[in-house]
Amino acid sequence: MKKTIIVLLGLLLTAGILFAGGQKDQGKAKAPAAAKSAPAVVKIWGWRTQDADVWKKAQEALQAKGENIVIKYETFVPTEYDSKVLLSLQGGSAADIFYTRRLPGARTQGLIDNGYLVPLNGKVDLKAIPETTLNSIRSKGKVWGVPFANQVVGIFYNKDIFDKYGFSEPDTWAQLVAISKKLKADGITPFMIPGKAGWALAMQHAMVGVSSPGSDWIGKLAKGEAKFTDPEFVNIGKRLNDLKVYYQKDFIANSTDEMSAGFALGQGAMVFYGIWGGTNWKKLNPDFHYGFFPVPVVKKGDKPAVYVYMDGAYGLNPASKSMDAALKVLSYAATPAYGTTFSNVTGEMTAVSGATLPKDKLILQECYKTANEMAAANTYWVGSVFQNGTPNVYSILREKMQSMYLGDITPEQLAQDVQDGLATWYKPLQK
Amino acid sequence: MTARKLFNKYNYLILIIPALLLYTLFIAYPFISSLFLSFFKWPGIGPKLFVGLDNYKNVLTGYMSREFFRALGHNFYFLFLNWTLSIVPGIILALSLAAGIRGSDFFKTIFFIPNTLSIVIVGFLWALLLNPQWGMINQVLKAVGLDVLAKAWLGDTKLALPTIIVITGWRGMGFYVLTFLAAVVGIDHSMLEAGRIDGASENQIIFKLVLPQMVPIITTVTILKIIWSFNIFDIVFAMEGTQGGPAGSTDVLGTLFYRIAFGGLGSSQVGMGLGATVVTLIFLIVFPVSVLYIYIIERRELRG
Amino acid sequence: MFRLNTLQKTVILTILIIWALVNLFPLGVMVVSGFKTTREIFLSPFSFPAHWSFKSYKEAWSVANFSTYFKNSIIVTIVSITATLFIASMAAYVLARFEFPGRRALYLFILAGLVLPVRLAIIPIFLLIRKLGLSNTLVSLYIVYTAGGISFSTFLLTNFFKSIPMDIEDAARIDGASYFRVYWQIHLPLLRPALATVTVFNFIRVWNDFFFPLIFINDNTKKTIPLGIQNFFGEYSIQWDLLFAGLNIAVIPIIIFFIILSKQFIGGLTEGAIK
Repeated sequence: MKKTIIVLLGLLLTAGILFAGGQKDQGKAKAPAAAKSAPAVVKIWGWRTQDADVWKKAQEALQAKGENIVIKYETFVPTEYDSKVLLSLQGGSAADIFYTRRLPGARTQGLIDNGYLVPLNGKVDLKAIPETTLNSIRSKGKVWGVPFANQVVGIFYNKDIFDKYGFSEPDTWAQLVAISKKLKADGITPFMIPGKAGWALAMQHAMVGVSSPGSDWIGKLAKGEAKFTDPEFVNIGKRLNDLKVYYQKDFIANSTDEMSAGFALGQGAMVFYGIWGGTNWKKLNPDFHYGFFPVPVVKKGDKPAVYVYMDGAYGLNPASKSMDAALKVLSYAATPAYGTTFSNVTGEMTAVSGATLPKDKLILQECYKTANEMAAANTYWVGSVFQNGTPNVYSILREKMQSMYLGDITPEQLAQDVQDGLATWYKPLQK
Repeated sequence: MTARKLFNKYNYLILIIPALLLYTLFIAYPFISSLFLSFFKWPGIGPKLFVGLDNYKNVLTGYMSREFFRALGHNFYFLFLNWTLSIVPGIILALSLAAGIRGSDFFKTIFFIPNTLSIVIVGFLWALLLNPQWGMINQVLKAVGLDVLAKAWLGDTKLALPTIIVITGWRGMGFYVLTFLAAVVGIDHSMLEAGRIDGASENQIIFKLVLPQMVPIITTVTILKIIWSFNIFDIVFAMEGTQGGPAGSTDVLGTLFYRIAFGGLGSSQVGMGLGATVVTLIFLIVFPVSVLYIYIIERRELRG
Repeated sequence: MFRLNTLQKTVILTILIIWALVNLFPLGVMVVSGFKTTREIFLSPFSFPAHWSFKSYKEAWSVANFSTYFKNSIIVTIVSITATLFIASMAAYVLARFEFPGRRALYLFILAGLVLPVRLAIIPIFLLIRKLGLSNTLVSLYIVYTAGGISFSTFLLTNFFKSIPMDIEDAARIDGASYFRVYWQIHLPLLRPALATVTVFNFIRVWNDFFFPLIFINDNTKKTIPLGIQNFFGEYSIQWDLLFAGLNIAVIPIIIFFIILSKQFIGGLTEGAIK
């Protein structure tokens, strides 16, 4: 018995070492190509696995310009990423460049307040990035990172299904409901909703809200001239609650992955989601044709809006030992050339303006255009003033939306809970 | 007593020093220093602000209290249902294995295999099987005409927690079966024979002779279960996320702590101090149970 | 040990078979799914794959860098389990066999470690590891895994030690053997089944943990399997064919390891490691 175990462990160990050896050799083979003198190594940490190729191409571009720089990109699971960075920064072992979350947000603000981020004004040329985007990483009048992407959220639809029925993109909520009704009558699930992901439900609420009652009303809300318990806000909940008859059965048990699979494999006609979902849909079904439209307005003639937010930025570690090289990398990341690479590899919207968007990704161009023309100025979800305290609007909505859909609370109660939660710390709402 | 004599008398204590050193340095000290955080407001970075008992007030009576007591209730529910679902089937399966049927060793091995899987994988696998639309569980139920039973297992506020508890039971059963089996096998056979000579039926033997002998092991397992039930985190996290959804119906103290101290992905305030408060309260609930356990064990020994 | 008629035996056998199937079924799904395409996993969960292909396995193996992770996981697991067994069994020997002032308090102190979630203490642990100059090394993992295993291992082994009759030891002590020799030559061999039990529990714990490597390790070459799986989940959350293949690659070795150890292990549990 004992012998068997020892032999087996021995075998496993040997196998492991052999494999590892193989890997090392590959590493060696690549090394001489990089440079003759020792290159400056820039370590980058992020939570986005899809960016690995972006950095590879960035390194090639920098080396082609004669920079002797090697980029090492490491990813960590998104849920644990922030803890990892926070600890490593305090322990002095963090990467030279690390992805940071947008502002307002307690995590990034904490890093700024405690001197763990370098302000980039005057160090990196940020001209190619629009001011509105930079605002999402600005604090104390300074910019603390190079934004990499903007996300647009709205309704995505299966083009084949819409074509088959001759539907066009709806302009009003009533049209949207009519389309849903027709599809349902024909046995097609109108909406795939990831009800298990509370955050996606919060996002759904927020993207409906920017179209009706709209950005101006949300602006009043932020100033304290309106309340979350006003009919405008209650009605968002009511409309969504009424729409749920058109969601897949038991949608509250479905994750975003299940929603993506269902949508891309033709099990549902529409989703409330973000532009980033497209990569996965195409992976699941390369022949999948989908389109995008902003959430329709209630009153005919009103202008719809889309929810656009900055996804994150590349921050610079003040303790970096290859500061010069890191700054070169960051400067490159703020150029249209980098933006072009980013959008081509990831299929998402680069934060840099002037980039050439991939021609084969029509939807990206459309979203980009929509984002520029229809972005809501005021919002109440991520990137809004309602995120600056505890509990924030996001954390309330993600639980209460589930409760509403499950029938445990009414849309009125949902609105009341948001109002009460935020009024504990948001001064304008306390009047 | 001189120092030398003392040393001679207690020199066996050297053997416990490595364990004590490692444990104190890397487990006990970090924990104790972390528990002190419960008197501070601290987002995990920068200066710590002493706030006295504010965190405790917030958790017990303030804005966190609703979530805290809801989670606490779920932990008790977890303990109760998980206990029932482990002890009763565990004993039945252990008795079945003890019956001496051929192939028992094979079954013992099989029964323990789920225990070897990491909880992340268990959660992923079962979430797939329980998917309401295409998951196999519901497909089977529908195929045999039990459509009424094909529920949204993980999306129903009343069913989600029991479902997670059943899955926890599935993964952990092997441990309980083998533990109980040990107790059954350890029972003096001559006592059972004597019972048979006195004319007891096999049922009577099981209920009157075997089960009473198993009380000590059931006590031990119960204590372990109490300790483990208040530390539940991974399985809920894997199946319902940090929110303990749907609508907080599976939120336990472990996920609550995680959400407060680590969660948020950037937008929420993180509070290590508030998190430490939750853990201190868990500790205050569970630690007396450990004391009780030692007391029971030692008394059992004294009785021989 | 029970007298049963054929009917009763059949009933019992049925119970055992049903539970065995309930145990194996999800694993079967996992193995078969590794051979299916994502579309098949979603749309025809019952069927076997149209083509049995190892494509997903090959791809998962090559993209996930599992070979390096495997090597690291094996080394970390072996070192930390060996250390835990040695250190905890010595402690258990003292706690179970000797009476000295403060013994109960000491036992309670060690048991307290069963209660605490490790995440809370990660900041001081991390800073300690860094002070020792061990961050980004496998040594940091040996240390925390060994320390983390002390509570439960000592708990199980103390229990077991108490079931060994005292007279063996008394005889040896009279012969003048040192405490360490008594422990090493007399008790440890008797403890073998219990040690197997402790090994399996620690194996499961160490092999599956991803939190410590996540926090301590920065280099790809020093990552372990669970960290690899976590990354894999993130990267292929939607490509379930690859995901399943990756899971199988990670899971099957541990099951094989368990089956090989199971005789010892089950012996350990059923000879009364816990009371």
